[in-house]
Amino acid sequence: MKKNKKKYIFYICLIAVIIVCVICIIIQSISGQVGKQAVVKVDGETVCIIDLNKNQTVYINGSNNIKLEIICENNSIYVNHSDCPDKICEQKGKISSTNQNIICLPAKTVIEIIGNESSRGDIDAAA
Amino acid sequence: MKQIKFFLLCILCLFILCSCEDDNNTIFSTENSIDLFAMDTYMRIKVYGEDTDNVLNSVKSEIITLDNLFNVNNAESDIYNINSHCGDKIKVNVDTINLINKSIEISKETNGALDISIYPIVKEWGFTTGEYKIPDDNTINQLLQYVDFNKIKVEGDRVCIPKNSAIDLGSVAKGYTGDKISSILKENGIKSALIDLGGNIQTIGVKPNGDLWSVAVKNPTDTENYICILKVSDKAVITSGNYERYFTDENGKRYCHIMDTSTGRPAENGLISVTVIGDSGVECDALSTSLYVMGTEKAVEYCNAHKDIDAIFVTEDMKIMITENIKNSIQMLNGYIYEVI
Repeated sequence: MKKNKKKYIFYICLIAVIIVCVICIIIQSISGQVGKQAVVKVDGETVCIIDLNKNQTVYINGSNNIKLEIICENNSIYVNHSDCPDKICEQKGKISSTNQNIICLPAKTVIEIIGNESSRGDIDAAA
Repeated sequence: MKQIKFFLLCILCLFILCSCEDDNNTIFSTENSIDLFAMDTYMRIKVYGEDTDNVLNSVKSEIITLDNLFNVNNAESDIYNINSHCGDKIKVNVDTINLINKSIEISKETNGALDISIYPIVKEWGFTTGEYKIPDDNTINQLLQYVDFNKIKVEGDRVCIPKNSAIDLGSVAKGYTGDKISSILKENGIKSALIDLGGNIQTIGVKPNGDLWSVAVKNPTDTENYICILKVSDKAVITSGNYERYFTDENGKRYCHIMDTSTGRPAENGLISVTVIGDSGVECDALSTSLYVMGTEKAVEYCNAHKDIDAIFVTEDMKIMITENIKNSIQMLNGYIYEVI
């Protein structure tokens, strides 16, 4: 009887551990998928977060009255049009990896992809 | 007994699974950061520690203050004031004096490869306005006569430049600002920080997990990729490259913003990128420009004569040369190999 009780407790514990493990795995995989987002900041302030999984066009009012048309398609994002004079942001083209960014200096606007998996590996900064 | 072993194994698996989370979650101090646009670039300062809001606010104020002093286009700045009152002794802030003095010192050491009085030339090429043009020889030669750092006079807290001259601290301002930020952070007890002033990198201490900082050097022909990683602590890593600001003519020829002080034209002396690694941001900033202007031969000669300089050179034909001291802290990427000079 005592032996059966021990067995019973053991199986309860085993099932509990398995459930916790499965939950951990699910949470990790979900948080990995959520990673594909782009944060748009104007002069250091976050103005919107764009879900890269959704094809869409977003209009941003940058600094100095500069408007940017940002297009998100097929999990990548780019500046289709900007009123800025140098057009460097347009020339940057599409970005799709975590930590990549598009900077429009005249509009003081940064579009940066955030997520868990960095395309830069363990690189902290680039000079 | 077997069951207990199995149970312990399960617990171990659970522990391993949980510890497989991103490394960032193992940080033992809180990350805090600010980002802002200043000095014509995008800056991000990341610090680790507790209650770092105040120190980051101080850093932000310092950057804005220095930008307001050095900005050549800001009518309220010291530099604008000096440039618009040629021939007069203009009273300026101590930071402006310090930076002008440091620039003149490095100009002398590099035999004029760095010259803050190059501004009239840079302006003529359109790099200050974005309205790029290729000036004719006469215009360049005429403007070159005003380029001479020896004619910048500093007396106490006053600066005087000759008629028709103009100065710009763009080649040294970010390095100087990085040094000032480092001092503020250290004075406030920050032991781990990463300062990124538009690609001018300065590190404080090591990463919170004890690892050295990994600073990549951009591939000048494809800036989304890197040629190597440097493992550093308490160092500035600063690059001057032909990809930073440039325009191309109708034939596709690239004209970069780094001017050769001897010709008044964009420097084309064999190098497309120079990275300098050192303790002082302002010196690394100034030297990366100077060595770029000197070109392959003279820059290698200069580094051989100044063994304390740590540098990485990338030539037009993508040959990578490094100084002896950084051999142990460099890790090449994408199949690139280096040659020690």
